[in-house]
Amino acid sequence: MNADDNTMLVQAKGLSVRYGAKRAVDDVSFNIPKGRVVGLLGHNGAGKTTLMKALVGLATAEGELAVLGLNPRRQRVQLLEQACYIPDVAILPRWARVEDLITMMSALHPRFSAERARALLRRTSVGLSDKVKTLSKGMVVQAHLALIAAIDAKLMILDEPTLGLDVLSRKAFYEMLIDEWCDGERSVLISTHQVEEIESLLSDVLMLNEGKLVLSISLEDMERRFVGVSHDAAVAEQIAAAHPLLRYRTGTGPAGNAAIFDGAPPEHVQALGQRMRPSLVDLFVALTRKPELDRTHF
Amino acid sequence: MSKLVPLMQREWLQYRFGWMLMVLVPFAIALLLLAFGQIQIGPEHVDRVGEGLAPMLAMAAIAGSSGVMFAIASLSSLIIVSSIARRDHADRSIEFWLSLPTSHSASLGAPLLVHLLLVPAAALLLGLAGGLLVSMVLVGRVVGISAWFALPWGDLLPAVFSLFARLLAGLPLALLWLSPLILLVVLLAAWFRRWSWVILGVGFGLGGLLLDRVFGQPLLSQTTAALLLGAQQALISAGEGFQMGAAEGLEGLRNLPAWALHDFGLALGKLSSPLLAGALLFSAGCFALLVLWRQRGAGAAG
Amino acid sequence: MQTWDDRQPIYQQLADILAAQLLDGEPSEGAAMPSVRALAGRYLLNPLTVNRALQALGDEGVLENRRGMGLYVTAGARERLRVAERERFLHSEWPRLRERLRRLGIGAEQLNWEAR
Repeated sequence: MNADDNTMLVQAKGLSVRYGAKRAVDDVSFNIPKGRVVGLLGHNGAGKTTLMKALVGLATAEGELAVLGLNPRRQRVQLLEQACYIPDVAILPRWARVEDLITMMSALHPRFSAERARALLRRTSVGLSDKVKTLSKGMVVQAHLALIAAIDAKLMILDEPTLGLDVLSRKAFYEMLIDEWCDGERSVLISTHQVEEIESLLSDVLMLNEGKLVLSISLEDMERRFVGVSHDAAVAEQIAAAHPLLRYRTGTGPAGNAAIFDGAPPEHVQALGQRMRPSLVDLFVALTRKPELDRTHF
Repeated sequence: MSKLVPLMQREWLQYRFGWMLMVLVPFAIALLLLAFGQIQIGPEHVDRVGEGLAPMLAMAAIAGSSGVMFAIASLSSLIIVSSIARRDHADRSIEFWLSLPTSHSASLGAPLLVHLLLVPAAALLLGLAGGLLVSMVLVGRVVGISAWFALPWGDLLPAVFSLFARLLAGLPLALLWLSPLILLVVLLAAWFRRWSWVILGVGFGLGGLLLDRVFGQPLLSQTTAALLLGAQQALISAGEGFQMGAAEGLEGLRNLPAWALHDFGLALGKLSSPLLAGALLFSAGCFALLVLWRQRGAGAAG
Repeated sequence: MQTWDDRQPIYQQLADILAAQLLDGEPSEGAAMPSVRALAGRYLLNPLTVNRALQALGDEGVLENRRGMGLYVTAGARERLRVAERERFLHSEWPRLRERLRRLGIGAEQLNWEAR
């Protein structure tokens, strides 16, 4: 991600967030230009939520941080009028009717369009006069997403927005994301566990591991930089000698083993197997080294 | 503070059904009891007041209705207000409210304004309106409905309206006196939830008593008593109480407007008190701490 | 949802899918390509990826950019694609397939050339 100040929606340099002695976000630097869909990946507790909170002024951060040119802490209200933030879905007030929420959002959010919200809700199974407490978890998520999508914001910061949604609803959300938000002017920062599913939607990725930023790269550059080689068990030792980032068994495919290299390995090593594209999931595992991972197949 | 009105609207959207019940149920009960129940007025009262019975009954009905409405509304408001710090934590919607472009002070100030000022004021007005209805039923049953229409409204209405004007004007003043106690409860509730009332009661009440009697330090109990007195006087009877002998009847009622105005003047005068200045500083401090608490994430998890 | 394999970059896989469709005449030569947005929505891809795929097809001479009107299928695109496909088959797929046939001991006479 290149630095060109005019089009940078988010600029962070040396950003840290501390809770007592512990650093939930540790010296993180990155930029988000406009027109991008940035995936924020990390295990539970890696600091994703804290980072997002810092971006919208709900957590005190050290270091330099400018979001839409504003200081999130001091200009929080102004920032939230131009950006929109979903901290965690399924947190809508249970006493409210959906129509009440539309009324309130209209009054509180200058860029909210009640018409759009109603149009989006019509595509879901959520009724306007439904009370939030009668909705299933998935329907609450859909309602919340519809409300947020009705905001004409320049920057969307979404913390695990698809948690609790079934496959069809997730698909509808991804379609909406591409349709509405990929216009080249807006950017989306989305954190998720479902790395596999979201990979094709992303243009850039930020990977956090225990508060530190271990990767900040566009998907295009990622394809160029990281090389995957799928190979037979027979040549495993030779592959290992070339110090790949990660080696693993794929189980599927003809070769059964795979290795990921940071930078192209020497020719003779590549010839040992077949070149493949390291998926985001593989890279995620390689760089964060934790066994638990959500590999949802559909 | 530009988002204050929409935030106040939230209170209406959240509590409107409860409020409507709160208004309608007592009135329904009162009207039913009066219409079909037994009303006994001791003969000595009837003899004493004579012609002034009907106006007395009317005033009693109006004052009673408003008093009950005001008491119910104030009680419910105090209960709601004491938990505003944490009311959105149970369903985790606090995260939703924090994600909206509203200032912390507006988010905290709006419910205080609505529940402490607007709701009791509305209760007074509804009590007045309902009270007129109740008075009609009461007078109608005791003396006869024609007597209600024959009431000296020319004297009665100004008296009633001036009394209500006094109460409505005194309400914000009374809130100023009570603010340190209320805001302290709200602040404590951020950590202690419902126990904040107990803590206040124990701390100020028993604690103050203990300090006074056992340790000879009457400051706490005296301050609390003074604040409560200030609030009461701000609301009504800052000076002498309204004297109305039974014999005066209507004559007495005619004096009410002048008395109410004078009383309000006295209440305003009492505002220039160092105790109140200190109390307001304390309240401002509590409010600032609440804003700070909300800024730090309002104690929400993660 | 479309699943993307791990052999090639996603944009390349999309380019292949679109090329296969073009070979089938979808859309036909001279016709307009669906917009980037439409393709992004259909395949649930980031528009930047779609752009790269279309760029790749453009580089092969299959698509042309008509100013102000978008991308159109060039005349002779299908032939060009067929030629490219043929080359690819003959140079990479066929040798692999031939090797497999040899391993299985299947001779040319055992293969059924008649289309069903």
